[in-house]
Amino acid sequence: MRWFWLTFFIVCPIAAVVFCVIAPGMDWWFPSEAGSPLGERIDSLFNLILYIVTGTFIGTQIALVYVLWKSSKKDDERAWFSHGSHNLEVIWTIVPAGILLFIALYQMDVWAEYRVVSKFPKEARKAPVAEVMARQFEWRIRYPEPGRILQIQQQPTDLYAVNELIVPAAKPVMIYLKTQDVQHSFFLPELRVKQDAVPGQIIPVWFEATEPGEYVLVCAELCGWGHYKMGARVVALAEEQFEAAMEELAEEQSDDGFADAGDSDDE
Amino acid sequence: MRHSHNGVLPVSIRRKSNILFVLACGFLLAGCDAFSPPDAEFVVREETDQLTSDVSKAVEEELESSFGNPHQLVAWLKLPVDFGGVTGATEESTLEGPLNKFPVKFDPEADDKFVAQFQADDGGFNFGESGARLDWMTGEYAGKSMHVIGYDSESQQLTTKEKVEVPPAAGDTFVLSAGETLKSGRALYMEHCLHCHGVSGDGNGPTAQYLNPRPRDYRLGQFKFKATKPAEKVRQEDLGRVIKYGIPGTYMPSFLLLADEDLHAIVEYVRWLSMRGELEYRVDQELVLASGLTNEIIAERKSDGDEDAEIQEEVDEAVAYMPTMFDELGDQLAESWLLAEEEESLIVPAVARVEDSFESRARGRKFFLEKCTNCHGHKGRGNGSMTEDFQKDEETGELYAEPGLFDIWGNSIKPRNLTKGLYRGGRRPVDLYHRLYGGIGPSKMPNFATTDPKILWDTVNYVLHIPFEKPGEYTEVDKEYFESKKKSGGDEDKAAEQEATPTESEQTATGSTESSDQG
Ligand SMILES: [Cu+2]
Repeated sequence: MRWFWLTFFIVCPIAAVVFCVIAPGMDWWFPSEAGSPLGERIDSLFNLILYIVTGTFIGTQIALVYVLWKSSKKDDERAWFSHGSHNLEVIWTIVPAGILLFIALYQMDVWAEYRVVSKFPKEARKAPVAEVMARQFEWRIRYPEPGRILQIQQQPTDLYAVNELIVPAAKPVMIYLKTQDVQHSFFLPELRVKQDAVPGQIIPVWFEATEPGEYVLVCAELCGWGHYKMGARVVALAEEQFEAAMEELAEEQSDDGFADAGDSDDE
Repeated sequence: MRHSHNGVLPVSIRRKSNILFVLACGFLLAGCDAFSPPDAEFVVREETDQLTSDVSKAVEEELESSFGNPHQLVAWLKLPVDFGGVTGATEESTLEGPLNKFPVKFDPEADDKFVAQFQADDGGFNFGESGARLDWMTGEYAGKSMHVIGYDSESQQLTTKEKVEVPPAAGDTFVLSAGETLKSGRALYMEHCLHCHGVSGDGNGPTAQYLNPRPRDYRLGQFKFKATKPAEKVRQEDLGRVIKYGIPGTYMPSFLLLADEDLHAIVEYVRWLSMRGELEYRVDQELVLASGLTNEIIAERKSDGDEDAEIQEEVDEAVAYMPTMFDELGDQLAESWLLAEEEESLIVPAVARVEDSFESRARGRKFFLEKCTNCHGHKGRGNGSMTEDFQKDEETGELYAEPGLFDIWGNSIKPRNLTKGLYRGGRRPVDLYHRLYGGIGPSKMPNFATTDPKILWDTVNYVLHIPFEKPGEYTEVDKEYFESKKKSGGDEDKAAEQEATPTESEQTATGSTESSDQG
């Protein structure tokens, strides 16, 4: 039996290590590549923690196998009980605490840049692109008229959309996140953005889509029976296309149904 | 293309002589495959239930044969619904039987549909394991179906599983995969709409009880947000817009991410449900109001001494007449839904939008004072005097138990609070113009189809500006309006005038879209 456990505790960590090494290359379990610069940094933090955890895992497994291996040879020797060892307890308190402290400090600037408004990229902070209002069960979007700055208060010239947030690509953009009813969560998995929308609050959120394209926007807070309906999209467009899209929206919104119908056949 | 009208299967044309001919105009669609929901059933209207049992059974049977049930839909070709499928006709050929190959020509728009539906990635055609169903519409095989298993794009020949002795004649028409759109509409409806709007479109799905306003009951064939003239039905495009963009201020969310063909399929399914419901409603109206064949009325007559035999005769007559009644009412229904899609039904402003200036808005304000304040209130807050009066139910002629306004579905409703900047039917100027010109029939907002279009535009400008109105902005305008009223006599406006004069504490709420606008 002892040989079984010995082999078991050798094979498991080896298999785990092998999976750890080949998984990213095979694209198993890992989120696809981040679509934003900050997302890449978040991913590198994730990877760092993964390395630390993998290292710890391998280390403890080696120690475990060593103990099993050593004691399997000696039938008559009594085990050494370490319970209550002051020195050992100091060591395994200080070492993990040190690692955690390191992680906490190391991720500080990414955290700050992601959450602390004064650390947001300046150009994003200066000109929020839209207000995103979550409600059961959709995303209502309000843009400023092209050439104007988004105001907290609704303006007569504002433009409105639903379930499609258009932003310029390759530049940091900021939105104001609100909710009309319960708590929702603004989640852009590809851009590594997740922010709760809290009733009564206006929460600035920034992100940057490196490449033009469509990104998934979903609600990540179970908000009611229609939670699953809150699928939407963020469309990142090259700067001039973004401007054209806004112009188009402005035009659509001022549609008076007259010009496109030509001569009317109204009574 | 030759159309002979003798096929059983596709005939949407009414049989002329045989009144008792049961409408076999539909064809059954294949079963529900993956999306078969457990015990999904079309509910029966209350009015149908109140009919005497023979008659209500006849109504239910006729509904079943014209529309089927949720598991087995019937495409009644009389109705102007795009049921889906690829239509075409056979071409002249020298081939002789027994054979299973026919040269065909698809109808103009059907070509793309055919390719989209059946072409495989490798360029070949794939008709599934058991082949795609082909229904003959006319000719020798009218009413029969076959299964297509192959297509040669070179010779444009379809191969069927079945071999026939006599090849179909040139010009015989067929539908391939009939009802595809309706079927996919059903699957999508079940997924996205059913939990509020219900299997039958009665607005009574499992989540409906939690909602205010209640989900729409389609079964009167009436919809609030449409771009057609007051008397006309809703257009496909209007329903499409509602589904795509949702209705702010209600629980109807946006389904923007649906693919175009999915959106189309849902719209068609909703229209079909609506036609089904409306037909049942109209039949009931006829049987209840004109014929008086309800249990209640019959019991009364019996107690008044009417002979059983006499009543039974009437009942039998009604039952026998049922197919014809469905047929005739179906024709009327089809016509009205078709008409909605005609260009002449669309409201097109006769003039371009009047420039949004203070002068224009002031004119709009005057119109508003004259026509809108009873419901929408003097400040547009939706608190006009009508909301506190008892209104009369037009159907029963009695007053409602609660004060305030009611829509045609009997739900208590509130006039829109226009200070919120929430526009359920869309916020484009043309949307508001449609609301004014066409009214909102089901909620009894009157239409202003005969009003000068310029004044309507002024009113649109005014209404769009209400959320941004500054206190006292229209004091002068109001004063002028009430003075001119006074001059022309009548002092009933005095109370209104007092209400309209702004006070210090009253400030128009601006830009608060957060508060949900119920009702
Ligand atoms: Cu949500």
